[in-house]
Amino acid sequence: MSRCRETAGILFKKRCQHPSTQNCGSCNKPVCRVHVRILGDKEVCISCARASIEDHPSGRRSYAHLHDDPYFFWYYQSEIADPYGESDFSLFDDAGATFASDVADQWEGT
Amino acid sequence: MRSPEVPEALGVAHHVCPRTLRPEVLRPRVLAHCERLGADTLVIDTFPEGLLGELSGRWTGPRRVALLRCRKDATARSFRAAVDAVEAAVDLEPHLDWLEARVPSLGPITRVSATPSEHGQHALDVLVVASEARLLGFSQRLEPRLRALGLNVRVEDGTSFPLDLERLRPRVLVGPAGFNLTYEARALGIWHIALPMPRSHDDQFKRAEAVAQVVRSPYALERLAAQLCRGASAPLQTPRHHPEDVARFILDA
Repeated sequence: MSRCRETAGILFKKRCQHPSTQNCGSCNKPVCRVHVRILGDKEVCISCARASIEDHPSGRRSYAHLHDDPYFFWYYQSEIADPYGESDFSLFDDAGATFASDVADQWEGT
Repeated sequence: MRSPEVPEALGVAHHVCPRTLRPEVLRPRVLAHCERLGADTLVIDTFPEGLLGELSGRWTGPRRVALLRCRKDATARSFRAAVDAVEAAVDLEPHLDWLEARVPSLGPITRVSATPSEHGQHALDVLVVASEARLLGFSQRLEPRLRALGLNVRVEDGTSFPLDLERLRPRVLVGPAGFNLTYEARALGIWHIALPMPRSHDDQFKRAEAVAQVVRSPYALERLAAQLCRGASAPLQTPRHHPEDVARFILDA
């Protein structure tokens, strides 16, 4: 199994030490799970995803699922409106041992 | 009192009591009902003390068999005393390591009959279960975004429950982490991205962490859903049990 050839990092370029799991759907280089992102119907490497966003800035809204992805942090600063609201994020806020500790009267099952 | 909304389920009449009823008023009603039916066993789901505490204290009715599901107040003295008091109890979620009392473990039971291999081809990429109001708005914003990722998505609101996961056959389920939904998905080999709902007794977060996938933002959910839909593998199964296993336990208890 070959090594992942992606060098894009969150802040700095570096060689990835993970084994590759597939090839980039755009440039065909071997990449690992960490360095794959989905764009449209393709799975591409971080570099190709960044290039696509830079090349097609008008299409950024289509890539908004990368909005809080640390690999794309600089690509999305204040660029697009957040499609989700506070109530949506609140679904993910509560966690751990104190989850719903303030709930006194919700008995429903699912 | 017979419920006008749920007159019958699984061929069994349902009797619903008002939440404001006092335990000492409800208790003789339960006993009278057992006597009228000639019941020799009272099977209790999750609450060995009774929903309103009507089964606690000295008991003169038929033997009690408690089917225990994860509760947040499992360490409370009142709950432990109630478990000790019943004639038999079984843990339906032993993998959550939630119960201090030593009772037999059975594992989760589900209604599904198909195995993952019988489940076959997935008819749908993502099924979003918006079974309550706070999930509905989110699902409406999530749906077009998943479609933009090339995924086949369906949103089910709270009007068609219980859900027939065997018929819908999604590859990924997005929804609450209640007992039935979680273990039915797992039994069918469906990935479950959990949105744990706050409950007073049911610990959906604990179940979600142990059995399903937990994410920390809507964007992480989108990424994981797309990733799971494109992956070939299905989640590992937890041991599954059929209602017959529970019936056998109850009869043998």
